[in-house]
Amino acid sequence: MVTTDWTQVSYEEGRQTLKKWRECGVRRSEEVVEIWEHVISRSPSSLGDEQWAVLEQVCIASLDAARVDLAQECIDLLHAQFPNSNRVLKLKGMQLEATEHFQKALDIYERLVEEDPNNNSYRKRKVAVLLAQGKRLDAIRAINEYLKIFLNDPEAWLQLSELYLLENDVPKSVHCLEECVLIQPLNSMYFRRLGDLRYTQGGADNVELARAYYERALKINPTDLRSQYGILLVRNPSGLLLKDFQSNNQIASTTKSPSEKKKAGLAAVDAIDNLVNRYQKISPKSNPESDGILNCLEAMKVTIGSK
Amino acid sequence: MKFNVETQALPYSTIILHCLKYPSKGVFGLLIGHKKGDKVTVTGCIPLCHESTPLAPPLELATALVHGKFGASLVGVYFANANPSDTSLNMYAIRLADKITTVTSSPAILIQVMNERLVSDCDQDRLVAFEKDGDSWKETKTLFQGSNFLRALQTVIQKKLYRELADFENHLDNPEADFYNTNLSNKLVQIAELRS
Amino acid sequence: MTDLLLDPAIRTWVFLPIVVITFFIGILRHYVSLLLMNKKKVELENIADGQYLLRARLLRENGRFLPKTSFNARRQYLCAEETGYLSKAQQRPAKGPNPMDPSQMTEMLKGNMMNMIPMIVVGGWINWTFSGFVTTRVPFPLTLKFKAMLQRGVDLVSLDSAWVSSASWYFLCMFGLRSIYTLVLGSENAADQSKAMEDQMAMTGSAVNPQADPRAAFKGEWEALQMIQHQFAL
Repeated sequence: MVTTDWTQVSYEEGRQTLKKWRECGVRRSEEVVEIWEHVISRSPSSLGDEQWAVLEQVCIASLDAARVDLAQECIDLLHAQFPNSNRVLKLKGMQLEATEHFQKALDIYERLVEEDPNNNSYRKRKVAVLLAQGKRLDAIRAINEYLKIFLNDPEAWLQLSELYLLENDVPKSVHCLEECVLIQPLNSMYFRRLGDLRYTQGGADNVELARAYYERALKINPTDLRSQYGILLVRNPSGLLLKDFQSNNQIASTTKSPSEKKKAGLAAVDAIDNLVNRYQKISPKSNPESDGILNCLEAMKVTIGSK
Repeated sequence: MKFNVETQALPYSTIILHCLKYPSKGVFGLLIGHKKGDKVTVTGCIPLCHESTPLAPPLELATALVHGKFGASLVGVYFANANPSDTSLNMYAIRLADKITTVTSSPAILIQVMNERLVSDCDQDRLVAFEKDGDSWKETKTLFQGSNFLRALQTVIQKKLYRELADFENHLDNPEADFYNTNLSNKLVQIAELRS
Repeated sequence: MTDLLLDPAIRTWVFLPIVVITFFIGILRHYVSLLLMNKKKVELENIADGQYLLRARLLRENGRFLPKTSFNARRQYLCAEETGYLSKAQQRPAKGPNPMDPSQMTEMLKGNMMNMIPMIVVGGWINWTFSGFVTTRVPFPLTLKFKAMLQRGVDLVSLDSAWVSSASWYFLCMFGLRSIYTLVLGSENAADQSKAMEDQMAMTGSAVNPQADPRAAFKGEWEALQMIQHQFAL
């Protein structure tokens, strides 16, 4: 993997990177702090109005990277600029969270919600506090409450789905992800995960659904390696390839007619071909093990072909 | 049967690096090693994913690939919880370990990273091993090899080498990433030799 | 025919002053309205309403990606006779802006005053001070019909219709400065006369907007959801 040394980048590059991460919401807190400390903080004022957004970003990142001192600096600067801002108050609450003063943080969020009931980020923070305290069931309840009002928030549904998984409640988790699909039908990640979930659930119908979802995900994003593997898994005739590891799936082998089995076999070969294509393009320099995987795939193909 | 689990320097470092790469998430991985009598030596590890609820497909794939490569050397599972104060056993890790037990037909071990002990000075063992005893998982003895290599690990962490680590999920997102971490392991070995 | 020549003094003392005055009046309007208007507060219930409507629409559009049981469960959740949100929302007593509510009245009055008074006063004043000037001409020929529009206050039969009178120039500026205001004041400004007019039109025209009468919107969505035939698309 190629990694960049963020302490050495140019000012403009650092600024662009921060902006990119801010806009896509990636969580690379440590690196954000690095860019700030080594590059941007040399002259934050030359960012113009952007500096406040950057400060907010750095503040959150530094809390995530356990740099409470830096976060305090950012909050002080922001507070001097916007003395009455709720957004700064929220940062303050997050700082309390990071230092494990959960009750104080909750009080702040409580107040913020009261002041501005329409802003959903404060409600989300409350859920985050519950999660940090390890109160999973309370968190589930809180998210459900939240989703009664803001029911088109895919982020919340995704979180809820994960929480249900931790409680080992796959059907509910599936329900939550289906909501995500409804809201953002062009996001291949939701389809793929839904496929994963259905496959995890097991049973002929669910595996069939999983196949449909993987194919959809692959249609939206043709380079998605996970969906390619997913198709290989669900098309895998009678659990041939990974027979030892297949969970509770007898891959519908009992119900399928021979013609269908053959079709599934062909599809599996197709999937393997796609994967092989993909791996052949990888140079052994970056991934020395790709050859091994390639051999593995070829072997699978031969086994399927012979059946 | 009571196992003594010894984790060699390389897998130990890799596990810690995996945790450090995803400080906000739980992590999972497979353990490679060998058993001799009641002593289990972990000689390598393969990071799988960085979420607390890994779903079946990627796990099945990864375990199948790793089993294909290492066969019976697959000895167990390691994991870390997302919440630092959470010391419970992760259900998904247990399931995976059970699976490995049936596949390799010898009891698999489970290693948990104690998040609370992940502090910046590396002078104590952060891994706790478990073995299956009847229906429940019981803690077993771990052999800690002293703090010599931990100092090397400290340099590794300071060099931020954990950013180069890749797990199976990274590999699925980008097939260029090598989840066996061959290059990283070489670097780790080099650094450890330089130190000693 | 010799071309008409304008005194340069007209440029300095009529043409430019009108532009400057209209511009500053607009800025003034913006700040006065900021002072007078209290920010519209959206009720939490309205948000929930909007979210549920959106959700019903999404379900209709993207429901094809869900298996039939999941789709039906969701439809049931939204449309169930007693408990469904869409059904319940239809039975809610009518709300929305009540025209007789005194606070609403003052709000509307304020809005109208902000539009009308400067228009009348400044328009009248400009007409009175700068009446009878020919200020500029548009650089292309126009038909006679435009005379009424462009030469308000200058009734000369023989004048080419490309020429613009002072009063008409004022109106042109008033409506033409919109993009300049967005540049200066940001996109959510109240300086723009034409936008205010549009708002008024929308209000009188009683456009179908969910805020105005959520019940109708809910009924529509409810019916549409009942009608839809589920078909798994994958």
